[in-house]
Amino acid sequence: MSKKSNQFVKSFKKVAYSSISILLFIAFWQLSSSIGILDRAIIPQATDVFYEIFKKVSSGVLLFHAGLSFKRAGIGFLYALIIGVPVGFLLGGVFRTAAKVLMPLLKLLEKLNPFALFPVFMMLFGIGETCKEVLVFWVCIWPILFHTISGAESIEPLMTKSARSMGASGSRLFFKVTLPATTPDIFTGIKLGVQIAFFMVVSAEIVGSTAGLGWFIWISQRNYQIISLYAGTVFIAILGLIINKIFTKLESRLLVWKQSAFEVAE
Amino acid sequence: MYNWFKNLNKKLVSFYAIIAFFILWEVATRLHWLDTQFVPPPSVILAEAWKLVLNGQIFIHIATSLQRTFLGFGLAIVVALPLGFILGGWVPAVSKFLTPLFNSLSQINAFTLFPLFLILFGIGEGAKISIIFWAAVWPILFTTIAGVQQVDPLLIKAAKAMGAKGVRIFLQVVLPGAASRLATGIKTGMTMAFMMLIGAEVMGAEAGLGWLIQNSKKNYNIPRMYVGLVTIAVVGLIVSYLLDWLEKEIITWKEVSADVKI
Repeated sequence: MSKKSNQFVKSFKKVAYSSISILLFIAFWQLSSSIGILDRAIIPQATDVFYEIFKKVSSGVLLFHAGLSFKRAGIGFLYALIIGVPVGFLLGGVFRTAAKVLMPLLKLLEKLNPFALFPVFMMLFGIGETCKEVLVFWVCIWPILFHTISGAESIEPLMTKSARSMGASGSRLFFKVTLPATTPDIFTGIKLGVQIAFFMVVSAEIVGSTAGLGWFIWISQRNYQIISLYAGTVFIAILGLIINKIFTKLESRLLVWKQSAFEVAE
Repeated sequence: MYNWFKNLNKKLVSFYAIIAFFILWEVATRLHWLDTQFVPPPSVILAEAWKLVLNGQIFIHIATSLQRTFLGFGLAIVVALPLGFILGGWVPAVSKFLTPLFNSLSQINAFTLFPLFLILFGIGEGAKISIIFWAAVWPILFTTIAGVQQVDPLLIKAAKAMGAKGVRIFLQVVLPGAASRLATGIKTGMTMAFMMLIGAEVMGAEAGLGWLIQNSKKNYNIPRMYVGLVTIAVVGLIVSYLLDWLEKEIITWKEVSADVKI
């Protein structure tokens, strides 16, 4: 019992220590603006900004826009997942020569700047939801696809052979051997995809949209509602950090399992 | 003769899919499987590109974009390299303290900050250069700190034992030791800088490759849009090859891999 509480105290201390610099930063911001070093018209007080966040969250406004952004990002990401993972398995596991031939083309497509593609997608799919979902899909599919391919390609052939020699085949082989072995790689791709999806959706909303988090900060900037602008930006930053933290935690859980498998083997 | 073919084939394999892709594209548009209004054939795009090369316009835009990139990127280097050296080598305790703050800040995407930077730095080049700076500065800073911290302390001690001091140790031990990490960070920074550049230009500029795409879209000059897209990709590739080449030229002392039998 005390070992668990010891660990809790340790991790709490770690969290507390690492947040000191962030808190100091905010305190420094607040101090400089209340003394008057910072031009209030350009940089509002930290307290005002956080109060604004609180106001906008409790009134539901920020949550509404966040929900919209998440919905767009979510749909694009899901399509990328549904298409990317199976195709990745097919290319990495079954059609290996096809993968080798296609890789240069795919890498070239991945390098295309998403911001440059955005006007193209706007033209092809109109200004509405589809365009943003397609953009998120495009941006997410590459990390997911490439990581799945690399995961499928790096499965220990010995593992598959020994499973087969014990009589496993088809879907059993896939679900009990192939899939778990590639999960950490796929998950890395997913984590990258999620991060980039969120970023892309907000960016797309800044460039052209009528609602959503990106639109919110853009419109605040347009109307010189500075406090609102800062509130929105800080809110987006916090959301991004939370998403990253969640997926990093999930990733470390999945990776631990794979690593310890190798340690056991040695 | 057969060997020559085989070798050529090996080298070209990576391009087969790309060539096939373009051929397929051309055929599909000619057969009207794709709406040529929205997706012009590659031949038309090339023709438009050639037109822009002939009247020099493309070079103006490339130059403008590159100028912005290098300004923001240069600023990032000027800030991140010294800061990284100081934090990584001189006052590592401070760097450990600041790392959570830096980590959080670096995860804030540069484009999210664009409206904010518009207010802080004005509508002109300031906002654009600042998001390029923001996008590039974090990878360079982090890799510099890490690079300095992983220099073998034994090497530094050895240098000190031979009487080297301060600046000399830095220039002849730390800098070369951290160099390959630095190179990676700088290349990443350049990639991020380029990415943000286009985002910034798409938002509002009077010239540059991102502006070219936006403007072409507004004027319904669809082939020109694709020219902009392709040019961005090509310029990006060239810059990245240039950096790779620079790295090979400057860092001639790459560490020998551990499993090389001497």
